[in-house]
Amino acid sequence: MTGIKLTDVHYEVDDKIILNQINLDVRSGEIISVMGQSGSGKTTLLKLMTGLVCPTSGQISVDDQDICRLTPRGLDVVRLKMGLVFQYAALLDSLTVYDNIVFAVRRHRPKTSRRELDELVETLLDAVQLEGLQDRYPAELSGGQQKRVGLARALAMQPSLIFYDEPTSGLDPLTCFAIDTLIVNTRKRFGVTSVVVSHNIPSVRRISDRVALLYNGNIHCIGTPDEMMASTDEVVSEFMHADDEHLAVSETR
Amino acid sequence: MQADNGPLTVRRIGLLFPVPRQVRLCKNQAGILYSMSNTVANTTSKAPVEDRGVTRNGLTLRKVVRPVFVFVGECGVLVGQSLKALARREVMLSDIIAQMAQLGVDSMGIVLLISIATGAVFAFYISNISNLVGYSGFVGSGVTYAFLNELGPVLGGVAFASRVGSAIAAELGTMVVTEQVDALRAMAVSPVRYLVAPRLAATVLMLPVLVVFGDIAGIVIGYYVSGLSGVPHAGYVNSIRVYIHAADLTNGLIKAVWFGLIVGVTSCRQGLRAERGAAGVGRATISSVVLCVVLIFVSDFFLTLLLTNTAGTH
Repeated sequence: MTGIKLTDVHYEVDDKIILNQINLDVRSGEIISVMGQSGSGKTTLLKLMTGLVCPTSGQISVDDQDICRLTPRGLDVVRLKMGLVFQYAALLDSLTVYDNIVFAVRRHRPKTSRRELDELVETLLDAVQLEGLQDRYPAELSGGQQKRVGLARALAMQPSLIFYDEPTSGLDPLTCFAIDTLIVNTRKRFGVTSVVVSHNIPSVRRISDRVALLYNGNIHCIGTPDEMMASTDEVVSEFMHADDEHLAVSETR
Repeated sequence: MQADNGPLTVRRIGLLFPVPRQVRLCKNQAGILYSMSNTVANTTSKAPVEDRGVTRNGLTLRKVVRPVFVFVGECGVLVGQSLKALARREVMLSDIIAQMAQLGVDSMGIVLLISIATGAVFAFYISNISNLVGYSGFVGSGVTYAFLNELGPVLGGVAFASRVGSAIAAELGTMVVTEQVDALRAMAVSPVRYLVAPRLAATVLMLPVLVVFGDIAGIVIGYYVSGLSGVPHAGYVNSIRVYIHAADLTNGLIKAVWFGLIVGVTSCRQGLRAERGAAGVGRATISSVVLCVVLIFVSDFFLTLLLTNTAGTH
């Protein structure tokens, strides 16, 4: 299994600081959630971890390899260990579900037989509970189904590290719960290290081993979900109990 | 998208126009090419004119000249990386064939239609004038010469730019704004290898084929229309035999290859620069078609001079 370590990562665009001196150690096999308000840099942090964006300064190590110093080919080798589930799935819309799932396999392991590909798709669609949908196009799927296909695609290369970008945003509570269960089961079944970017507090509490709160470009606090919920820190408490407060306000009305 | 991960290809262009270090381009991320020009624009606008010791005229010149160099540089990078990928056989043959079918075969109808319409009108006018001055024996060679050297490749190129260039820019632009290009990179699949190289190969290979069919259609329709205008069929064919050489066909095909390259690389580059949603895709599509058409006409003039001087035709 693979861990990931960020050391003094700083990122700015046009002199605007997005992330400032981020230090984070994602342990092998854990599910860590990164929370924060919209626009706090959560997705940017995910893109930095996957090498899609390069930090202004600092070091990002995957299996003790600084991905910022790798050549494009070296980075591609590291990326084969990673799977990324995008917020809006980002499925290739000209390809069917089947072709989306086997896309990376066909390119990186061209000798894989059709029978092996069929078995892979069957296994992964079974894992994400979308059996029988392999011939559909992304436009014919619901948002939740697209995200599940995105997860199946991310798992196709058997990565040891999976990144989820707001996996439950815009989904109904039942689908949210199904996705959460899927994330936990994926870790159990495939033993992957998972980084989840989300601001859905109930979801984060259900799935996470640890939670990091991003605030003003920094990791303000990190701990288990229970520790975060019990925190007396004003920022953490306000964020983690935001749902309760809104509920209380609406009840008084 | 922002700055990227790898060391950079276009930094060579930075020798001409230095670019801040954080704006580095990566071999397998064509889409970020635009960040370079954005940064160029930003650095130009930030400091007062006097601070940089540039006169207003100098600044204006830079604003005009720099984007041209950036455009040429970015297109050069895309072509270079695509050729490298093709030479190393990193591009799947099935991707190229699929693009050839989609971009080439589907464009056959419009190219033929435009060639037939233009050929008919052109033959009609030239027949009338030739009949007036008594040179009707040159109609066949006139129509054929014009089609092989000029009308075929230019009309084919413009039709190709309108149909294929816009489709490529819109498709790639949509892929950029819906993060599909990022998804490719996350799967360790180079957008240049998967998106750009197959399209470039398809446009370069298919436009000459379309142009040949367009030439045939234009010349054949000219045969019938000139016949209706009183030009003898035998004279039409005979003048082609006497005055038309193989060099006329090869000149046209060289132009077609060049125009195919222009359409392929320009539309890919514009598509990969798309940003800010549907409106950005629309802008990328329009700019792709406009740039392709302008570049086709401008380069046609220089190509004609070059090929005429080189081959010494007629």
